[in-house]
Amino acid sequence: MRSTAILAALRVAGLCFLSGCVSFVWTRDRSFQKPPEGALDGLEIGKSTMSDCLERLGAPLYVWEYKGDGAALAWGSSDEDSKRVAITVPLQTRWQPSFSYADADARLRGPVLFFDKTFVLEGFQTGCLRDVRLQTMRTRPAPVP
Amino acid sequence: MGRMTRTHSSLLALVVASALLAPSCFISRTTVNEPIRREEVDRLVPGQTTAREVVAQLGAPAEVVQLGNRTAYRYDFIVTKRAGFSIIILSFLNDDTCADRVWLFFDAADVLTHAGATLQAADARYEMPWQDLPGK
Repeated sequence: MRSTAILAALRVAGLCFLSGCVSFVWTRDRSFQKPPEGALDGLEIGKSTMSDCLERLGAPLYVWEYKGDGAALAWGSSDEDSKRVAITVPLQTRWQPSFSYADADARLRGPVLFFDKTFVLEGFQTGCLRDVRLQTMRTRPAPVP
Repeated sequence: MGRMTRTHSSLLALVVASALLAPSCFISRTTVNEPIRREEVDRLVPGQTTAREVVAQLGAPAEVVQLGNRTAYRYDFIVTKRAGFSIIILSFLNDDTCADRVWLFFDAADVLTHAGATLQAADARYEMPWQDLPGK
């Protein structure tokens, strides 16, 4: 009786594995490259200009308005490594062919430099770009129709 | 006769192994926008080039950001290379995304003041999850 139950369980497990329902999945998702090593060294708050920073770090990933007339420039990259046992039950087919900046910034980490209205470095912060952006971005009011 | 059977068995095993393994490998490449050419970016001169000239040369930007009474334009070309393979219940999948990016900053009169360019889209690689990539 017991061996019949074990046999049945083994059959179900075997079917799951063979049909691809259960699998071990190792995924790695790497986005963009880190700014050059040491690029932030030597930058001085109150002295370094936006030109200095663009020359050292290259083009940022994001730019947003900072304190009205200033600008925040963000550089970032991500490296997500995931190993998991997946149980798949196909219910719906979905394919997202294009890269979305909005989706990606939750994973991206890196430096954010803040510039005053004369585009001189006012400060910097390092971390998750989405969090820094939410903390420092000012949302403009909708225009009155 | 026995030798013949053994050869057939080996062949059959090879065919079965190929059938199991061969269809499970794939690579794909996804791009967003058009490639950015270095020589076109080098033609832009801060203090001289206007936003109108930039648009005539590079086309419509992917994003325009307002910075007070100034603006910044983003141009980019993104490449994602995906490689993967599965062996029965094991799956390995790797995505590598690199981009060419240019940010152009204009003053209130729409004259270019600052430009930053990073051209790395060509660095995207087809790799496996355990392989390390330079710069990442």
